[in-house]
Amino acid sequence: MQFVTALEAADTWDVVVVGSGFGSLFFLKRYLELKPNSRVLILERGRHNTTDWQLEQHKNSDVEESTTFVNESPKEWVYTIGLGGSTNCWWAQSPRLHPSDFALKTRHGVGADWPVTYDDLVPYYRQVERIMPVAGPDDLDSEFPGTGSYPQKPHRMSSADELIRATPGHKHFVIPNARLTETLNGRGRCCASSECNFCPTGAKFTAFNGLQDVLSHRNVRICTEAHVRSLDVEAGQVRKAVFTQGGKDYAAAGDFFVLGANGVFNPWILMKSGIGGHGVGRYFGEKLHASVEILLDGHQHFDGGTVQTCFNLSRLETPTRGEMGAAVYYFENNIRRPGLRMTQGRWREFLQVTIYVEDILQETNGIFDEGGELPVVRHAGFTPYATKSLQAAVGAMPELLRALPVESIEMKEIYPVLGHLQGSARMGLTKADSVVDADLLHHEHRNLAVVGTSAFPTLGSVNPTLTAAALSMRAAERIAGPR
Amino acid sequence: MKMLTPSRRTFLLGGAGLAVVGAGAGALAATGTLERYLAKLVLHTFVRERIELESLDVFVAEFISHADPGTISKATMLTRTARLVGVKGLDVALVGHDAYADFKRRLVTQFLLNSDYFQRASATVPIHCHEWTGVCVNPFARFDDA
Repeated sequence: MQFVTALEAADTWDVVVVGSGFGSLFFLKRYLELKPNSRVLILERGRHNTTDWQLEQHKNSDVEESTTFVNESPKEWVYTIGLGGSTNCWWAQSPRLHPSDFALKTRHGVGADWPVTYDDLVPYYRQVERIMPVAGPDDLDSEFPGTGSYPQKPHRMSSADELIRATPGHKHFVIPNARLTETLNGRGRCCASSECNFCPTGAKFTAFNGLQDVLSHRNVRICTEAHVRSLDVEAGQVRKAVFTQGGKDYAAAGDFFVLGANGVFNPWILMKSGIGGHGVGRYFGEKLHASVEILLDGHQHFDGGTVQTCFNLSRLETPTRGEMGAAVYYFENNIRRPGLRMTQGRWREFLQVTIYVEDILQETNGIFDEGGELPVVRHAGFTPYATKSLQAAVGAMPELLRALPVESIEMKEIYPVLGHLQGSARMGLTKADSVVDADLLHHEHRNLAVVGTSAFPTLGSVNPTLTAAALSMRAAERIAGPR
Repeated sequence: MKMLTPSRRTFLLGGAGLAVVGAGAGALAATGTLERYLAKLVLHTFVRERIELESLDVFVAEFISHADPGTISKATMLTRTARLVGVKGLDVALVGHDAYADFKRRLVTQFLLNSDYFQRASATVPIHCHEWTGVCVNPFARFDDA
């Protein structure tokens, strides 16, 4: 990697990228394949916290994210500030969004439609799955058409999963994830450590072990601890990224800009720059994340090959999705948390299922500029669209788990945070309904792309990261490729 | 990239070999107050088992060194209360208390995963706490093909 000082960064570049997480780096991955001679500057607010540093310190960043915003909501919000962004802290679940996720308004009359379809993203999903690479099963085509075979074999499911999958009509599948099942290029295989934000073997994809070709590209320069405050606009074009380092102001000029901070700071920087569009800083949120604990009678759990083994899609796309959100069950094989069953001799007769529940993004929830130094995050809490769905999902569990010797099912808690910031710079067809278009280009300032999960117009049903990466690769291809 | 291995923290463990074997909550496995409370809670939970006390001391020290500040704060408060009512009395008094249950579950789970409890030849063999595993801790995980 070629790091530069702030003074060296205050130059003129072909491309200036703000932030270095999934959205930014997958954009650059494709962009540099198409335009390898472009001079690229990455401005990263955080430091370069190496993988070894993270393992030693047992944290992903030296910046406590709660000091970077004012939270005026009942929920918590988490992210990683540092080179590589959330590639450091993520747990690597890598399912595609479901085809129905892209057409919620058309199919069910709620939320919004995306300006891209599942089919539009299939080629880019495949590219990302091969870059990371993703380990997954070969039977997902029925739910996610065009999946085919994953580059790595799937993780071993638990014996509880095997029993559920023996049930006729099941929708229970091994979760695709970017944790290796086979060693590759010096990276070890997943050892089911159940602490994936500090993956001890290198099995989990991160920017450092999977996108070094981008970070170390001959024409890429990286300036860390560069806090971008705003973008300068002139004659409808973004001209400069204004940033501070060590209390001094600098500006990096460029022909093209990629804003890939995160769901809090993308809209914050847009607002500070006077860059508008419908929904800048609004429609912000994340899925509801709940935990259910199941006591088993005689069945020994925790024999899967990774931290979460299967997901169950039986309540993803239902006829009632107009009234209650998609719910997806994740079958946990995490032996550390919440811990073993507290009954002598029956320690393993316990299964935890976590549930992701879709909510409708509300225009009133978002990132606000109150004139202070920090963005203010306001969120009113989950709507009945999510809470009703959670109730229904828990109610459906006895039937879902009928193949298992279940003693009891207890809804345990709704977690305060999921870690999937979404919305706040949504994509859509026109500036009347969104901030960016299907190519992630700002509707008015056409030399500005806003990448990452902030562009999502709806939450979707499953983990958003693979889709954010695929959207970035598609955008880069359409922006830099032959017209 | 440097890899963490289970042996990485071996230097912390010194020469904890076979030593005193305790049976029952009356044994004092450690000298510090917080350490003593945690050791007693383990002994109370496994009152019918025999545990090598010297290795339990090491486990408790490792548990404390790996715990987050919230867990330590919670354990310190429990230690103070246990001075008044005893470990067993506190355990009974807090039945059904979610935060206590979560804390105890975490402690017991770590004890089970950082000892030879699941690997012992028989239940009569004293439990030995081994090197703090820290990573790759699931002894039941299957990595072979289905």
